[in-house]
Amino acid sequence: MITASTLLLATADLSLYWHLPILIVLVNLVYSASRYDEPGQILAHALRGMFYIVCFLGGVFLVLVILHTVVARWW
Amino acid sequence: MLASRRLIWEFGMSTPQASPPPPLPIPGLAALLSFLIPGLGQIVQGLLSRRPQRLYKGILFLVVLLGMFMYGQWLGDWQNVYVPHFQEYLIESRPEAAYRLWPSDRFMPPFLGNLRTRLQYVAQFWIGVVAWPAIWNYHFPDWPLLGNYQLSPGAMKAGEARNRADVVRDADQVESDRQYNTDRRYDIAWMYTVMAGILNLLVIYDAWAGPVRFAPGKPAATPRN
Repeated sequence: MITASTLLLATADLSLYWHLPILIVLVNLVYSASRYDEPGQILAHALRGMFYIVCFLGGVFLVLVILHTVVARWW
Repeated sequence: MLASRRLIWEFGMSTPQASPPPPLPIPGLAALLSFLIPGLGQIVQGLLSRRPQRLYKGILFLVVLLGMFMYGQWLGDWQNVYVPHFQEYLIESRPEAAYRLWPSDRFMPPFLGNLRTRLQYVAQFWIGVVAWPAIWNYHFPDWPLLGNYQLSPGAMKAGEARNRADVVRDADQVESDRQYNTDRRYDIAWMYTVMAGILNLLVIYDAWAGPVRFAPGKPAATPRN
């Protein structure tokens, strides 16, 4: 039987990067809720914030991949 | 047209607001309540003004922020929210390394120096009462609150046989072992608690002044030619 404690232990053993989507969602929800009262506006603003952050992190990831795979051969 | 589309994208408003919402009740008390327990001020405001969206928002703050803080503490074996006694040891044993009040050459007062040692606590403090046993345990190590919760490393208890240098060295060794054994989880754990504390500053402001909204009727900025 899966208990809450078992689930918590499972998340602790996950890769470090699994904390990233959790934090992106939670931080954007709280930040957006501090800007609006209406649930629809909170959700819309939070989704937009998540999109921006994911795009930014994805861009950094792509730059690092390019540096690692392409530029490293020229070095 | 472009400006209105831009406003919709940036502020999530499909239609301009006709009138500002009614003022929030008890703003000062609500800010204090949200400082004590995240979201409590919004919950009380929602109940008093019969605005369910404010009530739901308070519950969101309560669950998310306390959840983040507790999860971070749990990841850190409940040992990552504290104010250490370190500046006293530095002043006594290694004055050349003690924190000083720049630009003077005077030592920082112990509490300030210890907060400088543990800057995370400056952010964790703002989550409210769940982080305040650390302050009590720092000042009164002989009467700890809630067992081993948020104990102050390096504190000299009454009747302590070791000198301060040994107490601090032992506490430092325990912390180093924990960092080594938990690997990167050590840093992720305190990061959750720090982020929860910082986000609660937004919640306190929201309870006091209401949501930070785009001023209705304010003309959109025109681009320069």
